[in-house]
Amino acid sequence: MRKRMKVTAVLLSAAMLTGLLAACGSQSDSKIEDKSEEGTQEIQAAGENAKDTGDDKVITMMHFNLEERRDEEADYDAFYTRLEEYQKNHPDVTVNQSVMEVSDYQTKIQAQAAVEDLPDVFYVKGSWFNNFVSGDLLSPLDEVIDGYEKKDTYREGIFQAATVNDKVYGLPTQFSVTSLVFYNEKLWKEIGYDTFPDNWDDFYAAVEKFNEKGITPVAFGNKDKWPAESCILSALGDRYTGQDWTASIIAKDGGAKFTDPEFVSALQHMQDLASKEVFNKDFSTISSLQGIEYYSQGKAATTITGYWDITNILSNATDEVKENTRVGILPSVEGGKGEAAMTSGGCGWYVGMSNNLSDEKKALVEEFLLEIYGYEYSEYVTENYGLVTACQTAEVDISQFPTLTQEYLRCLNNVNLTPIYDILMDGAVIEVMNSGLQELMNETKDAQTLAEEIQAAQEELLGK
Amino acid sequence: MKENKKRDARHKIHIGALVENLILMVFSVTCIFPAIWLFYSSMKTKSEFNTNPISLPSRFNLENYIDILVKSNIVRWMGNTIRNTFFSLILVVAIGFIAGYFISRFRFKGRKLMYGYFMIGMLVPIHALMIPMYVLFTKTGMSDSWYTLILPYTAFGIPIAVFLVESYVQNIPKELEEAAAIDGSSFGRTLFTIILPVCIPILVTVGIIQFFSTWNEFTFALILLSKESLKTVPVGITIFKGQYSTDYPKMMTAMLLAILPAMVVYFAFSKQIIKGMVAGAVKG
Amino acid sequence: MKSSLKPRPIIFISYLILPFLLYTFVVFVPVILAAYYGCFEWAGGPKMKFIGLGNYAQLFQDKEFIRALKNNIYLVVVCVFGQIGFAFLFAMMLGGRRIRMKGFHRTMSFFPSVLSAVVVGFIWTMIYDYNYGLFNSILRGIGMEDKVQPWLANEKLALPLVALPLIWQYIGYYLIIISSGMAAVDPQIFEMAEIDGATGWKKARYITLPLVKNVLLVCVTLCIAGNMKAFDHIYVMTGGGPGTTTNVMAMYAYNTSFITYKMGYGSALSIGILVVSLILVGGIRGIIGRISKEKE
Repeated sequence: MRKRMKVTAVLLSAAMLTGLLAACGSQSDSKIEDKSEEGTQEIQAAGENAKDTGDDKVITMMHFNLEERRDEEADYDAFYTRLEEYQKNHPDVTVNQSVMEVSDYQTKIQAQAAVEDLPDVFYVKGSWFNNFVSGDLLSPLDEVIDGYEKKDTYREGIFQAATVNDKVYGLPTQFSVTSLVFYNEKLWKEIGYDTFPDNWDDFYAAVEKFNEKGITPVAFGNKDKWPAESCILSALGDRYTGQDWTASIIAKDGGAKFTDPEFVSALQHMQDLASKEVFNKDFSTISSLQGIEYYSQGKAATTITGYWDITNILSNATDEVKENTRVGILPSVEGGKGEAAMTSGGCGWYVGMSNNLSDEKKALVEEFLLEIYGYEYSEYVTENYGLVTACQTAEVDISQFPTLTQEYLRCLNNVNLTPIYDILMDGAVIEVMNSGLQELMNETKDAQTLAEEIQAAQEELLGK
Repeated sequence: MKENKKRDARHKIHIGALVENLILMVFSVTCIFPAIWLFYSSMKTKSEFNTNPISLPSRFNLENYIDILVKSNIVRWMGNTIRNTFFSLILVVAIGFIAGYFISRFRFKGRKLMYGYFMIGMLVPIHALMIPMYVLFTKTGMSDSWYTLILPYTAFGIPIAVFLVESYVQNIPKELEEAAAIDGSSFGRTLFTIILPVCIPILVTVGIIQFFSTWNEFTFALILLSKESLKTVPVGITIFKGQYSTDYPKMMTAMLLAILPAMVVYFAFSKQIIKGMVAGAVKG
Repeated sequence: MKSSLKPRPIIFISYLILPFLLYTFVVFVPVILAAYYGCFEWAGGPKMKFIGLGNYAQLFQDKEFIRALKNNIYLVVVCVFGQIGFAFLFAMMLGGRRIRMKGFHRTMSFFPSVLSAVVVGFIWTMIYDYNYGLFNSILRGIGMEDKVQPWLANEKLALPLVALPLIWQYIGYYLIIISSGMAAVDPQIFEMAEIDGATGWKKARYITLPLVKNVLLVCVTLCIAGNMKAFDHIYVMTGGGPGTTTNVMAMYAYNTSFITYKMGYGSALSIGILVVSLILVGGIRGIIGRISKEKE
């Protein structure tokens, strides 16, 4: 009996191995599957398998522009409008898209990138370029851009995050300003302020008055950890450190350090904001959107967030809040190395082309990219939503847009942009910073300790 | 109930019994309340909810439902989820029964090894294994098909099923099989006509556990599928995540719609399920 | 001899081969792959630098990993007692004669397990909510305004508060497992015991417990396994915050791979989780096995 069991075991493992080999041997040609298998499923012309099929007239694409949200997001709307136009002009080309929610997209595309199994066209976050380019996953687009007749309309610096070793690997899909102060002018007037203060002393004085009145001074939600860094520290840090410091950190040349006193002061400032009761008490347990909601309901006098919440406020805020909302930037820092008229902005999401394509396919995709994300994309957003875009577009009459949009444009006229931390600094550094900021603002960690931890993460990168 | 009739001192009020009933009642109510809350909140408007999240809706209002049904492919997602759930459920119950029975009854060589081998499956942190899973399924060309998800759902359901059946079978007297063998029953026959009926309670349990874990599964569904036509409900409804993250009633409607069919099935069959689960196994 | 009841090896194999292959292919192969990736410095893509066991060596010095591990162990401990303890108690009650509406209780108690982690996380986030939440409403109602706080931001309470929904959700899950385990026991044994005057604690300790020992062991194993890989609830409720206070191992591994792009180290972490869990489960089963043998 014993012996038999042994034979069994050998047989079992042999069979197992054969099965495995057989499974591995069945090659990936099967990807071009006969879709008729799914008898009951309705097959859409577009929107099926977003993997490289090898077909010359098929472009596969993965992104997060959910069609369901087309009405609410200017960039999504622009994308679909351009895509419809493209398909009208190129009826022979099939665009297969795979669309999902943005946080799921980030997970999935990372998994695909890890095994070099990417669609022809996909969205790339600014901070991913170093990794993707060093992994040979992206195709350089310099020739395409150079040959584009409207290349001069692209704003200066818009390619910054997509540039690696002097080559550009992505086209911008947005123009993002991440740190803006939206304030309710009526509420501020009630405590004796005609405009949002330009220095922190006045700001803190106002905070006290608001708290006495039982109004939240600044509505904010930092559960997801990035808003404190992306929407506040990116701009506030610059006021302390100046742009040379940031440039040095991004270049990883070892010159600037997170432990430099200027940056530590910026971190200390972040903690002060929390300890001086600037925010709603539950700011670290609610999401950014919930924070904006407080503001939209008129429960808070101010909120600090990015340009993306303009559409949110416009569609969710009470009429009174909408009418009275003005747009500004953070107060300046006395003695800081940075300039006052600065806030964080740039392009956060680019669209890139896989490096794993035949020349013919590349030509097709390049044309596709320009037709979708070229000047007309920007033009559509400007004309229909009034927003500032990646390309410098022809002047439009801004009075046709809501007051809030006009306010935003007016604010941007007087402001220059400084890099967004999480778009240009390394992901590992940002992770330490984001988590640490939450503890810092919870007053369970001090600024110096956090600075050292972030610096340690940065040095680990320098060592490589 | 029979038990009650048997009891002679029915009118006697035991403090202990009262307390026990009370404890269970409180617990049961906390268990069902969230569902009730989701249900009536789904009929509220956003501002109603913001004023008082606990109060009842002012009127019967199905707008949230209509909005979601119109805006999304939820019906198609549901079809996919039902297919995945159905197949993996059958497979897990069948495999769990057979493998669990074998491991429990027969002292073959490598038995402990096999038990431990199955244990690994329970301990694998799937969120940390997304990349290898993705590699495996793409390199073998098995991603993005109608059967793709059935494989991991079955494979990861096997360990729990095997363990539950294994420990259950230990309590079944061996005389059952011995008697059958004396009667000349073949192995397969004994397995399916004698052992299987006795194992119904644990198989029902395995079934419901598998049913709901498959129904709600998210990670594999996200990573292994790209085709829109294969999307499942948990992945599908994430399109409302950003949109409705401050519109609680609508988000709650989406959540409720996602589990509604599962809930209906559960409640419709709960009597049979419970009966099967606690049926006196060895009586017959 | 029992061997007459044993099937021939060919039958044995034909019954087990397919499940075994499927399981090996879908569960075991990815684990091996992860162990392999763990030997590389890898940020995704084709560039992989072989560094041997460097990542694995780093595990033991990684403060964040140790912290996450401690959190997991905390969850395991409170959940083993909270989930299985209550489940056993309730199963005892439901097995007795004093409880009315048994069907109702059985149906309802399993209900939370029907809900997805996202829904449970959402519901409990609402309960802990600063403005609308149940906790704060009660505190305000009984005049303890000073205790009102954003609960999940409290770094001392965050972990227990995150554990509470986990316990609540899975009591019913273990309840049905234990109940069906009790079903295998001849009901006459219970009836005899009751006639003999064994009630309450005595009945539980000397009659029921030994009889459902196997089932309880399975429950403890399941509970450890579930909590060692806990992810979704915490991801929804706190995302590991405040800071990394409620971070758990699976979330740390996920973040390492997908947020900081250290895919090699992330893979090593997932193997670390598996190994730690195996040791823990094996150890606990060994201890329980020995204790129960001594008693017998």
